[in-house]
Amino acid sequence: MIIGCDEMNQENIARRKPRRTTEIWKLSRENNTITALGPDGLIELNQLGAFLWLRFDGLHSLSDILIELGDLYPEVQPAQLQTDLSEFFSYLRSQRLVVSTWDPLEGVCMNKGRQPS
Amino acid sequence: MTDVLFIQPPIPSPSRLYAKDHVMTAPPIALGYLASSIIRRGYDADIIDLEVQDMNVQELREVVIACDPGLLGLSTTTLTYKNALRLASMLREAVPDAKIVLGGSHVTFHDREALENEQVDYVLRGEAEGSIASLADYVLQSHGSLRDIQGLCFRKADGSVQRNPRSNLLDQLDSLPYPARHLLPLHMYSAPGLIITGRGCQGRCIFCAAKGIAGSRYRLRSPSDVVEEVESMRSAFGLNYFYFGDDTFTAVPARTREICSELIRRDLNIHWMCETRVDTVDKETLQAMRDAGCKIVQFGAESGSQKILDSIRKGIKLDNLRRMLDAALEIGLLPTCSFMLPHPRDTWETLEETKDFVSELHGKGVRTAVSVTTPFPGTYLSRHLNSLGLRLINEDTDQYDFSTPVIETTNFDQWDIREIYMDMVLLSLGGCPTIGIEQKSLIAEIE
Ligand code: B12
Ligand code: SF4
Repeated sequence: MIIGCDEMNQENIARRKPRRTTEIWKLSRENNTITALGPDGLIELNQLGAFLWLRFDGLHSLSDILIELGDLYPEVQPAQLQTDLSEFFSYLRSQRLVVSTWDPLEGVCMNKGRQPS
Repeated sequence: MTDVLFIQPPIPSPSRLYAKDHVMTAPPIALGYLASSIIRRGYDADIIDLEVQDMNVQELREVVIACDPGLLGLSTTTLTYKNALRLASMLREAVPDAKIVLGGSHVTFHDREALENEQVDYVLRGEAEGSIASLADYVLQSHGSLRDIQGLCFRKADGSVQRNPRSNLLDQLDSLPYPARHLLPLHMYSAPGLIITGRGCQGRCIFCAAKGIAGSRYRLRSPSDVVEEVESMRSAFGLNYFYFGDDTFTAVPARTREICSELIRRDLNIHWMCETRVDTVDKETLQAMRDAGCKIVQFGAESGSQKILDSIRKGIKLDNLRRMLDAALEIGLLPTCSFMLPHPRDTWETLEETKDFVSELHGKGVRTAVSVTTPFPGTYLSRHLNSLGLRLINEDTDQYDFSTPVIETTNFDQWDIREIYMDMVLLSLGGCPTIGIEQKSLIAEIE
């Protein structure tokens, strides 16, 4: 699964727990879709997108999500599901709506910075 | 070697990665005050603000080891509490001889819980300028006794918790040294000119933690002391945009007008913004503020329904708010109004009223911002969840960010709350999700 961290091996990637970057979103209970407001504007997600969005909470790993997807779509080949998940994840990442992993302490201090005075 | 090192933990949510470009950031003035008290007592102090200083954990570790502090102080709001604990674990391992103290608006109400974490040695509740210096005496010089330090909580030898009474609130705020801004990376904040001219609030708003922290009585600095600080900030740091961060800058309008006259008399030629309450301001005061360089005035509106405002004990009348907003606009100020939702008794109808009110305000040129009602410790709301018909659905304080629903009300579940919050955000700001964003963009417009 390619999710933009080429240096990571497959196993590490599958263990990653993606986290959405915005909490300004709503779920339409009529048709199970999601509308989210990210740093680059509004985005609409269809039913499957909404299913994944709800799991990009920093608690579910990509491999757990894949297992759930397999249960939901038993007729679809696992390899296909993996590709779909990977593509969707990459798309959200390109929209800055999700990060591939999140550590509340480390994650915010990503860049090299100045020393205290 | 630094005697006392203060650290402001980072906000734990990833929204922060991108919000950085928009949301208003201001220096942790509380740590500035505490550092000043330490320096006045004759020790060294330094401050690291991880909210703005990009530093990974390894770099932080190296910096702290190089500082080799005797006492480490971590500030907490509810949102940053768990990050303070995470940092404390890491710091305990990096500098095992340093004592670690937590303070601030979260642990002031959850001191015992904080002390259950073995990496925390002490908690100081409430205002701490006096107590932190006494704690430094004890830790660095073995001078005095822990039992005599007001507001201090600590584990005794037998493992039980000793909880000293909270310190009396400082009455003579003029006697405090100005915050040690020279220790803060002022160039990294969007609103570096934060200044506090008074503490405490007489309001009784059920969602607000301010009075639990700073008391329900206004304690105000003298106008000359305030303006003296403004002048020193201007000359020492070249600041010319100020943010009066008091809960209610206009608590006593006559004193606000005196500050304005003094700013004009000294010909400081600055711009500033402040927060106010509609029942403590009048047209004359707004005019004086405008004349003295005020650009943005923020009013806490909270709801567009009078019935709801009464139920949350906001103590304001919508008609009065309308009048003051009109006056502010006429005078040439940029008013902003903050809203919160849903309140415990909100219904779809009252929220419609709020939406209509927000649209009405936009029509006049008033800007608005909205946040999700959150039961912070020390609030009436958090103490009366059941009787208010509220259900706590999320106890992960990493998510107490004013955007994530953490309670459900009698009328709204979390999905409803997400929906109405998002709709209001879009209505409010056309894509700018917080008052911080709003204020930052306004600051940019003015500068
Ligand atoms: C100015 C202000 C801001 C500014 C500047 C914040 C900053 N960088 O300091 C801005 C606008 C950026 C801001 C942002 C937020 N804020 Co704010 N803010 C305030 C306000 C109005 C004044 C704070 C202040 O400087 N007071 C003056 C200083 C001297 O007092 P103090 O902070 O209480 O500090 C004293 C003691 O608490 C103690 N202390 C504090 N830290 C430490 C550390 C140690 C080691 C020790 C020993 C003692 C100690 O000693 C200090 C000196 O006596 C307060 C309201 C209030 N009355 O407290 C809200 C308040 C602190 N904010 C609040 C909130 C919720 C937020 C946000 C989460 C809102 C949001 N989603 O955007 C963010 C996130 C902040 C964060 N880092 O977690 C809540 C916190 C409630 C809670 N339990 O968490 C408060 C209490 C507002 C309220 N009415 O409920 N905020
Ligand atoms: S919301 Fe404002 S007026 Fe109400 S108690 Fe808090 S600080 Fe005071």
